[in-house]
Amino acid sequence: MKPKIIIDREPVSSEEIQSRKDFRKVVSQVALMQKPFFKSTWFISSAVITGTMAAIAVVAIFAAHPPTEDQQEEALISEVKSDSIPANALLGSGYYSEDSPCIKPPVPGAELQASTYTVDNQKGAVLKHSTGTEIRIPANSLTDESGKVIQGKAELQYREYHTVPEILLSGIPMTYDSAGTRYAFETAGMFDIHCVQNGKKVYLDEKKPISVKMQSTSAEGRFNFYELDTAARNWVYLGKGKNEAIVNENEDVKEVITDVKEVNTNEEITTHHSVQSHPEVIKKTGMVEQAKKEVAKTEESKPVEPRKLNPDKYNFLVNVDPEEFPEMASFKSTRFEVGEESKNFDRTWFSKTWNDVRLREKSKGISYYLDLTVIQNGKPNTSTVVVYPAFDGKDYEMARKRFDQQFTTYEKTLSDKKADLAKKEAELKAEIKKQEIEFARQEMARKEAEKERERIRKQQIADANRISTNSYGQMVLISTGNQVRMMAARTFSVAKFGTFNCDSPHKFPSERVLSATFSGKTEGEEHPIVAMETFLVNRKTKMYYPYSSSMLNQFGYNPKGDNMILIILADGKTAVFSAEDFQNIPNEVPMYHFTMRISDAPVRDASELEKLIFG
Amino acid sequence: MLETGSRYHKTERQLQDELQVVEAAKRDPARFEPLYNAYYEQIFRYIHQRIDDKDTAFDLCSQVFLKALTNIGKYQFRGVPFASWLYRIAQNEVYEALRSHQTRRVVSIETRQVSEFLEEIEEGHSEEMFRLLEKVLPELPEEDLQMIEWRFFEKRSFREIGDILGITENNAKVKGHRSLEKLKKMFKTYIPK
Repeated sequence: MKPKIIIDREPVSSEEIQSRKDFRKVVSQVALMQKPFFKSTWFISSAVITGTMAAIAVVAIFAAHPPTEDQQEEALISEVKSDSIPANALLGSGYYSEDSPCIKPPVPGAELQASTYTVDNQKGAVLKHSTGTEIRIPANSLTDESGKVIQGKAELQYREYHTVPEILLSGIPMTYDSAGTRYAFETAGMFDIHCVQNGKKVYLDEKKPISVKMQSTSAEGRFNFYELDTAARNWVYLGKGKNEAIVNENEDVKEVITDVKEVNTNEEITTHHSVQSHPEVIKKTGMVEQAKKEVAKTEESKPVEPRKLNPDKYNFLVNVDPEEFPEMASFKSTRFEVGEESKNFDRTWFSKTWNDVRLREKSKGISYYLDLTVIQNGKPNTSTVVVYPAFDGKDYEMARKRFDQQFTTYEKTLSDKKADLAKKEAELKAEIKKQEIEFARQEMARKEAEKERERIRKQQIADANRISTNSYGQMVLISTGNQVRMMAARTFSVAKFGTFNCDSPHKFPSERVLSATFSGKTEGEEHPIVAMETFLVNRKTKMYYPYSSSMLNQFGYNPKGDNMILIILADGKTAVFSAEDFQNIPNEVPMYHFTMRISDAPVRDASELEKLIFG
Repeated sequence: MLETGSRYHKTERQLQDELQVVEAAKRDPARFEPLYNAYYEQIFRYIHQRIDDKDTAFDLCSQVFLKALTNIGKYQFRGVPFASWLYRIAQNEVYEALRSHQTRRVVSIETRQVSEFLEEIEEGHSEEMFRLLEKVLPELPEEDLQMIEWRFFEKRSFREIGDILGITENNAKVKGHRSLEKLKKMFKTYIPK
């Protein structure tokens, strides 16, 4: 059917168009278009099997490790109601999570499960988590949304993450943005804690904070305490927790090492550590950088002295689009004098008919390129001259007056910005000095702790049987890695429910940077991969760096590291580029196409991922 | 009829700001809202110019943003405004709707624009020419009709047309010129000698 010509059609009003906008609907449709992973047949059957296995495991653990008398006598310890509540699954009315928009497990159902404890708010509680972590909840500390103390029992949900696979499968963002720079987190333990009563969210009285004495995999003092701000999608620095090296306590074996051959895994990380990575220094460096930008921006906006039209020079009268050239918006019309450098200029141009005239900025407010285009024999032919805006008569007077005003404002603004920069630089210098002193102190403490750990390690080698039967056997059972070592207890004061992390920020590697593209290979056939995030894992340091799709044109890695790349696909399968494959990347290539090996089946839990990454 | 003029063009800084929003939207669909708000009306009007049913235009407009949001991860910044990508999706949506006979292709023009256009092609403005244009335009191939709409009725720059089509500005100029020549030639076949 041929198009229909409609002349002077009644326009649709802006009001009507605005009233039909519905962004939420579009977002909800996007969500609907994505495959509901948890509805797939294999997932449901896996969930049933996993649930059954978890129940058997709980029974087995209790059978193997019956509660000690001390535990039975601990009056305030509440009953462990269930150990198998799926984390973000919102099963039934009991589980509360507001984090789903920010926390997105890449394989729903494969993430660690939260433990649920029943807490009598009027009595308070001391909870012992299976990792050894102790949570102290003061009496009457739980409130409703209005701050009113709730009555009776509530369900507290707690999860703790220590290993790369556990954290990776949690979907908790592990990057930290500070002053526009992205850092990856190295963790010494992370936990999330929430509470519900009859399906309703429960809050915490900030005056009665919960104390979490978390078992940590590192005794080093360089780790800070952060809270995940799910709205801003960033971590908020809370300070440092109280750090107690377990080796200093009196019990016989407090350090749990399941693989005594692994000793110095933190060596590389320690060398990365510096004053520059301290959050306060990062923050103040960012403020200095911002102040420098402000000064540069102000200098760039230095007003340009208006030029008086020279009657002896040729000029063009151009109606300038004020949106495109706001610096000339105040003038009715601006003349553009032809610059002497434009030797190609020919005065006969004034009598020609041009098909297109275009102005391009050469130096803002000072000079421009004027492109004059004529179509000849079907092809555009463009002549370009350099022109200078110049003003005549009243326009010049107005421009001069405006310039004088703007220049006064400019000088004042620049002076203020420079003073602000000097102040911020001084603050940064003072902060660096303060942190240098603090780090020197911590370094000494770390070396002392290292010596002590070495002594214990030797003792354990000599007494392997004792390690295998120590009272922390249950912890070894539930940990997914063969190298999980609890080295310290860190105590944090938590004034509200949420996700918390004991972390040290690291810059993304930049020893070698290239533009990365990916495809997957299954049964010899290659096909494209669409990944929301690509994880570079350094197996030596046990760090991982999440690269979003927009970062892949600046994909950095350390060629000396024990690297692998892991992508978790939408169907839960993994795509891997191995450490051996990394050896085949030529030096100094600006771009590289990574051909990934795709797994046959979706990853089911952290232990499977642990095997895949660490072997 | 919407004349986009220079609203499309952006400074380097505006482009970078826009890119930041796009990158944020790749991580979180909710961050797409500023782009939705900024471009909804433009895209709706673009669609409505080309089809005869207002409600279908609203539906297609929603579809454009749904597709944009679903595929935002694939979007690659090429130094041009994000709008060019949306227009390309809108163009495809319109073609798809026409192919499936959901709606009818229309060309919406104002009298004033017809006069300007006739002067542009040096045919002079008269009632006869006006009627002739109504007769000739539907005969043009879709590609040329689209070009005439963009350049003369919507007053888009060749740079913008090039960005939407994914070609250079000069290429757009050449295509524009050819479309105009084709129209002039068709005009001549109708004008009695």
